[in-house]
Amino acid sequence: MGTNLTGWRRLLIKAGLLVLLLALFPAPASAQTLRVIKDQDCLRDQAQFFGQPVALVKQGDQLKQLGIKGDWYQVEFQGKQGWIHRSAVSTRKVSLSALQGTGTAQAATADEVALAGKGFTPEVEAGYRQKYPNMNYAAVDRVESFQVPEAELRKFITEGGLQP
Amino acid sequence: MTRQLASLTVILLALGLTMSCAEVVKVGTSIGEASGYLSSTEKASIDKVADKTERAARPITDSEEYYIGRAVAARFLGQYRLLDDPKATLYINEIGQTVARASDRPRTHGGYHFAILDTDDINAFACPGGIVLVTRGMLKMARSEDEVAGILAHEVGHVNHQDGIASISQARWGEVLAAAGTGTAQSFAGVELGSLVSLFEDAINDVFKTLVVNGYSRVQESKADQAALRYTRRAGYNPQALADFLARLEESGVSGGFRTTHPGTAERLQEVKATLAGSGLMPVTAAQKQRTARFQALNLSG
Repeated sequence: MGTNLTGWRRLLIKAGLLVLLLALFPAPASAQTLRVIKDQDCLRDQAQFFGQPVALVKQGDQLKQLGIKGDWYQVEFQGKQGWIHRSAVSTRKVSLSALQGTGTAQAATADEVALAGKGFTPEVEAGYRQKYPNMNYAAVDRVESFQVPEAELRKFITEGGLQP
Repeated sequence: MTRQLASLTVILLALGLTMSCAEVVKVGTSIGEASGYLSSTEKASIDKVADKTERAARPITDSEEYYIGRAVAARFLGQYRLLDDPKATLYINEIGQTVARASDRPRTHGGYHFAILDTDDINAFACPGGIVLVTRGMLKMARSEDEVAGILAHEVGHVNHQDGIASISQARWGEVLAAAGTGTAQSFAGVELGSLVSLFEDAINDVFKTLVVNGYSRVQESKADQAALRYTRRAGYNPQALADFLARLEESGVSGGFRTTHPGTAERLQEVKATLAGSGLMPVTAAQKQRTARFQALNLSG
């Protein structure tokens, strides 16, 4: 009798584990979703920085991955297809519930969690600036405004015999 | 009892394959509480530790790195003035963008930006996230565009490797995540924000101390040099220029600045030369001479 009960218990445990594994491992999605982690970037018509921009994407935008070529992902966003460098997107998933300690299991990128008001955020920077008004953020904003227009950089590279 | 414990172990191991550590611990403590092995207080205490431990595992995000970098740059720019020379500033941004695009991390949250500090000190700093500050004194010592590319590529290497961020201790980051994860959105505006600002300040101090006082480790410097050789070569610059610049720096006998925070110039030069010898020297081309001519036209060495 005792042996039978142990056998049933084992069977129940195995069945339970199977259900659990099926629940926790859903069928893989046909296409991976990438999330933009850069402030903003362009999808380009070719897998290179000098490709023509086809769409503007911003941090948090979700892109459907269609393919990969070297360091570039071919993606679709709002009906437009283009290429984006791998360093501008994240495939990383973290558990939002684990970070917040509440709620149901839900996948989110670490950046989304930061955006949700956690970690070092614009609010933290604002608090820091208020505490230390002598920090020269105006100069930092000026430095961040230093941009090289695409056409100018292309000219600089070509004239210097450099690699585009 | 032994069988029950064995079954529980099997279940927890299986859960471990599919759930986070904290979630597995919570399943275990729930069973422990239900079976009378743990009190509710003990269960809560263990769950809390598991949550905190798991939070500490989250790495710094690109946007967090960006805000740290801005604060580090703000501190530098509180001490040094920006050089008011739009042509020179555009020029180093053109060089910098060219090598950053050839780096292993061409895209960062806020992008790469290069600026010249108006000082005779010989130094260069990579703020986390992509703001690179190079002194007028440093540029004055360079003799060609390819040398400037080597200097900037070295700093881009530090950004790629997140060497500044690495100076924030795991313990400090654990505190940040513990503070960030304990409150609700409502309390975030109050007490929690205050403690995060203090921790932010501590993190900035950690990075600034590394950049200005202690310097990076020998290994970090070596890796940044090796990265600079790769990035400049990929971009079409002559990587030999980095060795030329390091040799001049070594011979100059200048003390302070770059030499303080970038120790062991002789050793670095030796390593860079060894790598160059292994990969084959690139001859000086007409294009390189053309680049040197446009560098000289800007009179940065003046």
